[in-house]
Formats: sequence, C-alpha cells, structure tokens
Amino acid sequence: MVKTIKLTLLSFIILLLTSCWNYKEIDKIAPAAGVSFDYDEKKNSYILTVEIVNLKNTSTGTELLPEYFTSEGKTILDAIRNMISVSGRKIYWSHAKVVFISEKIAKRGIIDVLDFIERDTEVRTDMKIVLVKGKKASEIFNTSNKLEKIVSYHVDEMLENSIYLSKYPKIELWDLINQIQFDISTAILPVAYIVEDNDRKIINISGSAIFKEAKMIAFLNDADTKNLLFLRNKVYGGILPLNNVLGTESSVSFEIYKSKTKVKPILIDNKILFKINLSVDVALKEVSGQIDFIEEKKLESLKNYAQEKIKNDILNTFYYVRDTYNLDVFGFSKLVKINYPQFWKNNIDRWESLFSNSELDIDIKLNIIGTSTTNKIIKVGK
Amino acid sequence: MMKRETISTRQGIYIMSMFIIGSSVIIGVGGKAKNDVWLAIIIAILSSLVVSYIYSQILNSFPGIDFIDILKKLFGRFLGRIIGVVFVWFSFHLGSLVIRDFGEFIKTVGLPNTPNSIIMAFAAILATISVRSGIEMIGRACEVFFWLLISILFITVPFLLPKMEINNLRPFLYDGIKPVISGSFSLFSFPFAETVVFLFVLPYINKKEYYKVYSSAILISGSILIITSLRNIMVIGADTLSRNYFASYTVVSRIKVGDFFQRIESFVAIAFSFYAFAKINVCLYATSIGISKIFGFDDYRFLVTPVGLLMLNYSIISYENIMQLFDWAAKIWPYYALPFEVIIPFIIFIYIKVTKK
Repeated sequence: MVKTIKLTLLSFIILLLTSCWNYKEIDKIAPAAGVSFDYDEKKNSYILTVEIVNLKNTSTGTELLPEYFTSEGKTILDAIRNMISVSGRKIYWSHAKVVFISEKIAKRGIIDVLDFIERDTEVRTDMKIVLVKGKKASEIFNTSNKLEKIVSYHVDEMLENSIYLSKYPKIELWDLINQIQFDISTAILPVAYIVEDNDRKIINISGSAIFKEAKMIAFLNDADTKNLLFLRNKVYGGILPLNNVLGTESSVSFEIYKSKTKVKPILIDNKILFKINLSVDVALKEVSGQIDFIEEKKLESLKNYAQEKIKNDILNTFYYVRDTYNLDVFGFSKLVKINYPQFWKNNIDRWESLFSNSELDIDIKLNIIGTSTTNKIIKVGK
Repeated sequence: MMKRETISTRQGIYIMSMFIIGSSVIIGVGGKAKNDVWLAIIIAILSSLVVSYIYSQILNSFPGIDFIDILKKLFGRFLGRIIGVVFVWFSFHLGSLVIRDFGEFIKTVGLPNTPNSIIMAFAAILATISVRSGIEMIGRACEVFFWLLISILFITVPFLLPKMEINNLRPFLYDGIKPVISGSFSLFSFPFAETVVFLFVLPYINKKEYYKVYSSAILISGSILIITSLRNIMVIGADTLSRNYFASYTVVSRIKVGDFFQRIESFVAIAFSFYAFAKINVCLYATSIGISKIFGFDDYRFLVTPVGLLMLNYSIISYENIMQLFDWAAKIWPYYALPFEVIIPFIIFIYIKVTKK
C-alpha cells in the first residue's frame, strides 16, 4: 500500500515538475535569424532591426517567412528589450546566424556590439559578422531574392560558400574577437553591398573592410582581399583567371583545389623579412583561344607565367596595404611574437615602423593536377 | 557498533579522480599561466604528489582508524578534537563552495530565470540522500559515472580537432616562469590539495593502500586536466579563455559537424553535474563523519540531513553574486586553503615522525 502511494506521488512529481522554471512554448518564442546594428548620432542611441523566422502552415507544408521589427535604445540590451513593445514576444537568439554592422558603427568602433553579443548566453559565438556598406545596415533586409526568403539565411549561405570563391572572408564572432584582442589589434570583415538589379535590390558580398583597434579604416576590393586571404592561409577554392597569356589572345582559368601558405618571419638586422611558402593545387578548367596549352612544354611555360602573375599580385597587395595603411591585416605580427618572443617584447612599441620597413619574399609552387575531362582544346575548323 | 562499511581501492581512486576533476574542468584553472597552463598543471601534480604522501603517512600511522580518532590518539582527547574541528570546517566550506559553483553554472548557462537556491537545493538534497546510503553507494556510483565522464571527454576532443590551432600554445614562457609558478600554486590549492578531505574517507578502503589511491587519482585526474586545458587553449586561445567563467562549456559549444551535430554543450553540463555530485558527496560525508567522531557518536547518518541543509544555507549566504564568488575563489582561496591543506597536515606529520621514534 505504502509502495503504491509512493509510486503515485513520484509519478505526479515526474509529470508536474517538468524541467524549467521559465517554461516557454515553442510557438510563443520569436527565433531571430539575424540582426542589424545601426547608430543614430543625434539621439545617441542604437537602432536594431531583427529578422524573425515565422513558421507558417501553407497547403504545401510549412514555410519559413521573415518578419522584421525595429527598435531603439540607449544601449544594445535596452534596444533589444524595447523590441518587445513592437514584436510582442521576447526574441530568442540561439538560432541567429548573421550580425550586420553598419559602416557608421564600424567607424565608431565595434566593441560595444561585440561585447554584448559575446556576453549573452543565448547568442552563440559562431555567428558570422558582416559589414554593410551604405547609410544603414537595416537596408539589407529590404533586399529580395527568390531562392531564400530569409535574408540572413541567404547571407549565411553566401558566406558558407565563399570557400568556392575566396573573394571575401568568412569571419565568425570568436575569430573577430581573437583578432581584436591580439597585441597588434587588426581585423577584417566581409562587406555587403546593396545593389540595384532591374527593379529589385539584391545583396552582393565582395571584398573586405579592414580594422585598426576595432575601428574601420578602409575597404579592400575583392582582388586585394583574395591576395590577403592567400597570405592568411584562408584560401580553400576559387578561380585564377589569366587574360592574354604570354602575350597571346588566349585566356585560361585555373580552379584552386587546395592552397597552403606557410609564413616564416626572418629577422635581418632589425628588419623583418616574411618568407612565404605558397603551394597551390590547381586544375586547368578553361582554355580559350587557339593555343593548346595542355602540351607539356607549353604547360610548363603557362605554369611559370601563372606563378609569376600570382606572386606579383600578392606582392602588390602587400606593399599597397603596407604603404597606404601600415596595418598588419595579414596576421604576421602574431607569427613574429611566436617565433621571436624576446624581440617582440622589446620592440612591440615600434612595431609600426618595423612593419613599414618589412619585406615580403614569396616562393610559389603551382601544381597543375589535371585538366578536367578533356585533354585538348576545341579547334575551330578552317 | 554497526558493521564497518568499506570501499575497494579502485573505487577510492574513482571517487578521488572525480573529486579532483570536479569543478576545475568547468571553471578555468591556473588562469595566470595563460598558454603555459599545461606546465603549471604538471608542477602542481608533482607538488601534490609530495603533499599527498604526507596525508597518507598520517593515515598510515594508525591504519584503518578514523582521522579524528588518530588525532585524538596523537594529541589527546581535547586538542585532537580542536584540530578535528578545523578540518571539519574546511570540508564543510569546500562543500558549500562546490554547491554554489554548481548553482551559478546552471544559472548562467541553462536556467537564468530559475532561482539559484532551487538548483542548489536539489544538488544538496541528492547529496544528502546518497551520503545517508553510505560510502559504499557513493563508491559504486562513481565507478559507473567515471567511465561515462571519460567517454564524454573523449567524444569532444576528436570533434574539436579541426578547430585546434597549435600556434595558440606558443610562444612558450612568454612572460617568464613567474605566472606559471603562481598558476601552479592556485592549481595546487584548487583542486589537487583539496584531497585533504579524503583523510576522513580513506580509512574506509578495504586495503590500506592510501598512497596508491592518492597517487593514481592525482595522476589520472591531472592528465585529464592537461588534456582539457590543452584542448581549450588550442580551440579558443588563452586570451578568450581567461575571460570566460565556464571555459569548457564555451569550447564545447564550438563543436559543429555539418548542420546536424551541434549544440552538444549540454554534455558538459551533464558531466559537471556528475562531478559536482561526487565532490559534494565527499565533502558532506567527511563533514558528517567528522562531527560524529568529534562528539563520539556511533553513527553519522542522523547528522547528514542537518549538515546538508547547513551547507546549502551557507552556500547561499556566503557570496552575493558570481563576480564575488569567482574573485574570492581566485584571489583568497589559495591562501585561505593553505593552512588546511599543507601547514596543519605537515605539523601533524612532523609530530608523528618525532613521537614515533
């Protein structure tokens, strides 16, 4: 008898005291997909626009539809809580994928935004950060495309697939924070442009923005960004297009399969030489014109030409960034610290002058591993 | 006199390993040493092997007899009891600290709106129930849980391999040896030398291999700590690590394989619940048995519930918030714990060596 009572009581406990204190129904929460941060100088306040995923039952199944809310606040958390007065629901952050930061905030400094999103427990540190060029970051949500209705998921895909393009970086929150925290604080972020396409607006991510001490100082175009990614060892794919190869009419394209960059800083009488070992596996994917480069001899000369071209491009980018901004966005300073800790400790204060005098030496090895499915070019009949 | 409970040497090792890993695997340890923390752990292991030799020598002087009874035999009934009270206080305080850690962890990462005291009350009630069931039960439970926890640890490491960056460990000894020494000192006092609490527990193992239990538990848990801290540093870097209250949790939340295998950080929360279970149990057991011996009771079981409730109360009132708790644990605890962990045991050890000759 006692046992039965005990069992009944226990089953009551199991059934009634299920899990959390702050119990939430799934249809009562508003999961955010992405958020944009803007700043209003006149009112000295933050403006947040949140993209919320709305589940809708249709005849063909459930559909994910975006819903936008904007709110304002003295601080970021203030703005987030003010959101309730327009959305009616508390926003749930664990599924947010992308954070859009306006150019204005980037120029003021991004620490405010980063601190909040890193500190919050609901937000995950693998969110991706994107800088939106233009007046307002929230304009990104006015764009439309037919593939993915939720803009944040669309941008997330663009960033995830950047490995086939390598023209803009993919930066996650933790990575950005690590870059900013380092002794020499630099960082890069991908840049989203809003462009007109017929009668609609679409997003185009291209190039990068460079940061010094958490403040944006300049934009880099996509070609420079690609070379930057080569130096950071972050190239996973992409195309190497070559026009007018060896002075002919022909153009060829290589597709990158694998790229590995090893950087070794060398100290020569208080001057730093960065020795780069770049090894790229490529396949010849496109040959236009009437010269058959697949022949062994010509392939060799094509390879030398391409190597020279890549090398010069990278050198140009390096010297351009070095001379214009004197900013180590390549992550070389960390390598100096690791390889020469004692030197670093003594010379950290004059890093800027050290960097402005540093040199780059590139040893490039291009391995052509294939020519895809055909072994000859298309000959035009006479 | 009721039948004396015993646990096997192996169970003793498991309990002690879980005790040492305890909160240290969740809360970052040896923060000052930054990326050389593995070296700090090695130094702490070596020094705690020495100190634990002292502990086991104390127990060896009268094998199989309770710690308080040993003290009574050595120093007489009055002084022995006074020294006993000191150690009972230490294990009581340690237990309440662990309860609080556990409560703060769950509150921060999982249940922010649930009152802290509810979570801590459940931890304390569970510990009360299991300590009332006796040390044999705790031993058997730890025997099972230990392997569960090891497997959780070794699941997370392979999945994090792609995110590891070996350069995060370099440069080696950038700030010199000093931060490493201070890191190893705080590691020594938390968690390794906290095993002084086992002076109350180890008389209950069936073979008198005290030092074997101490040394193997320290080596096992030390290597686990080295693995986890290497993992944490290589994944998120020493700078970010030092800013996080719950480092392992942050690190494991980075696991993402495709879109389906992610958000497994609750594994860490589960693991921590088990570790905290072991640690709270040992502290509560040590406190209750200590009090019962000081007053000369035959049984400790009727003391467990009041002591458990007191521990819970103390853990609630002792700190106002998480900042205070962590600040205290980092800055004051190493010095506060030193007399209990090293100085008094060392005096007892010397006394034994002098008088036994």
